[in-house]
Amino acid sequence: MPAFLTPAGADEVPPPVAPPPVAPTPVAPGEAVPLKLTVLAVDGVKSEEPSAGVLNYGALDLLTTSTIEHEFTLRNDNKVPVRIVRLQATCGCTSLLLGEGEEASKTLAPGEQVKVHASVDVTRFHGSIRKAVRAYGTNDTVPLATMTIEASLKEAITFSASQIDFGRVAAGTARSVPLTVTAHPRLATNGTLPKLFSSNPDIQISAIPNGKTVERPAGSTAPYVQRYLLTIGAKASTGPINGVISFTSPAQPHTQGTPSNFAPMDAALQRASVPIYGEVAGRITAMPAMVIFGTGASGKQQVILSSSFPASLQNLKVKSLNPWVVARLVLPPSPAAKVTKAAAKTSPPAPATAVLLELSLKPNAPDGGLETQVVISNQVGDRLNVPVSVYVEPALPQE
Amino acid sequence: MPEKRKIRFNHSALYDSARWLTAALLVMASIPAPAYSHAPATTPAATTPAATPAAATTPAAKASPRPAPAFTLPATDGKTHSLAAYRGRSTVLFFYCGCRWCHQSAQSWSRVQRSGALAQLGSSQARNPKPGAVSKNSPQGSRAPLTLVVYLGDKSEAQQFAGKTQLDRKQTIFLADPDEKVSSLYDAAPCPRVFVVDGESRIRYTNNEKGADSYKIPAPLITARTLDALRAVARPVAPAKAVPAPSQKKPKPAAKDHR
Repeated sequence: MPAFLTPAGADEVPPPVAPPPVAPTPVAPGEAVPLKLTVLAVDGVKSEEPSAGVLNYGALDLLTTSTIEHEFTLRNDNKVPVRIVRLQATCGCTSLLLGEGEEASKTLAPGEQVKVHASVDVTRFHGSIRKAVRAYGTNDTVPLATMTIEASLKEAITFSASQIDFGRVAAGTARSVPLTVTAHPRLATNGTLPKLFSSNPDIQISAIPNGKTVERPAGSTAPYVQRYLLTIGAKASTGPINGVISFTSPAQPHTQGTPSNFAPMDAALQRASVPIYGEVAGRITAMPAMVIFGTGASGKQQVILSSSFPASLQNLKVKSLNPWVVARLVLPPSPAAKVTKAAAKTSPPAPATAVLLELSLKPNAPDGGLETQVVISNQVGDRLNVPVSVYVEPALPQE
Repeated sequence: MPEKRKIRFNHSALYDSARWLTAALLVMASIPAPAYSHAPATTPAATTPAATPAAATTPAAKASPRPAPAFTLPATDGKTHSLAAYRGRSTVLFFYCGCRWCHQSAQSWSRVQRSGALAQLGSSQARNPKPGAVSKNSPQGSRAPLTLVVYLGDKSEAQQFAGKTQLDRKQTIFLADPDEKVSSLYDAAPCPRVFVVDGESRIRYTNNEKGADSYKIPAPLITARTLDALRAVARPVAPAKAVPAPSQKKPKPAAKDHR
């Protein structure tokens, strides 16, 4: 069972006054009625119906609140014992405990009550949340009771856009996109926000205006607003534009989720990010633009390289930037093969308009995620980067 | 001419045998097919690299597909969508609650959408259409696998989630499941959960790592396994070997009487 999280700043609360038992619905002889438990409407819990209770925490500041939890009370108002077999939350962010200890199941006699501890890690959410916990008996499909926790989360850092899209940028040209960051004033140290990073080395970030900080009155509680300009340079490689803008240096990549022992401010900075999209369009295009192997179990992957300038597809060179990814060109059969020798002497062979790039994964590649690129270049200065992604499954232990 | 032997049927024994056989078939039919685990269906001839033996050796890889429960939900586009409407086309069904794990899973899947990998699958299916597959010009639209996001919240919350993720709106339909009825139908808790449904509305893959809990699996790995499963669904089915018809030789003419 998940661990019980100690409530932050829990104060002594007077014992709730339990409402009178709800009389069970009269049942006609021979009619089967699904058993339900009553969710007591106490401690702020509101009951939409006897077996469904909702607790609304209202607005929460994520800088001061990382976890919300509540102890719901269930009561058996039936004339027969009811057994709670399991508690189910729809999200791993919610920890549950039944009863006083780590009880896996509980049988409630008629009139008996039991506590259900529910704890939600709110740092894993954006905006509003609505987390439901259901208690099930032997009937696995109809819950005995539903307990819901609601809250409205106030983010410590917000970006002016949910994603940065550079669009289609012609190779050799630069393009800039503005980005505004609004942050809780507590995140600004000496009037400045922590440094913003781009995981894509082709994108530069500059604060507006000209890197100078905006003057603020001392002790101001207004949100801190900083404007930036994101610029993709003229020397950027052709191909998809990927990456994220965040407060985490690329040398320290994001971890999966947010560790529970991070301070709220550190957690707010770590989870704040905005993805980057777009394409630097050169004379060679790839379809698909990015190769995603999956786990590698699907075998070889193929990419069609094409160009409206047939000369760009001549004398191509392919280089994989990772030793585990093998890339090779599969050239189409030359149309000249069908031309007679006499004709070949007078007219040169027609250049290819599409070339097949075949990628494969070497055996025994290391487990885990692998992100790399395959670079295609030619003698006329064209260069295309094809991102490659694979997640190698760890081998099962031999039986 | 040899004497014809009379063959007597033991009707009683035959009836008993049929009765037992029928009972056995009924029992087998009532047992639900085991959930298809994370290992995608791979044929023995799949070019599986030695580095990933798990995909070919996990027991669940041999599990048979089961029908995807039908459902109808409202979407953020204001319309109501049914799973049945996408019969003939592969769909990827994600169950999201809006937590960070769900966001990471959605962002990881958005890379697949934007890479063109799904369109590539649609092209391969166009070249090798399976029985019942929709045509490109059908009302169901493209052959590329469709992404259905079942959001465990109301339409406004689903809309909010859609805006925060980078899933391609052209390839994704966001459905609202505020009462979590469809989630219960699929036993989709905990999040993030994904189901690959083929064109015949059968579940071909799901990440049901209940022991390890699906949210502890890195989002890129969930994505990788899902993509593998989609490719396995799109893989052309090898034609069955033609069984030669029993030779129907002409009966030899009776020997002529050379008297």
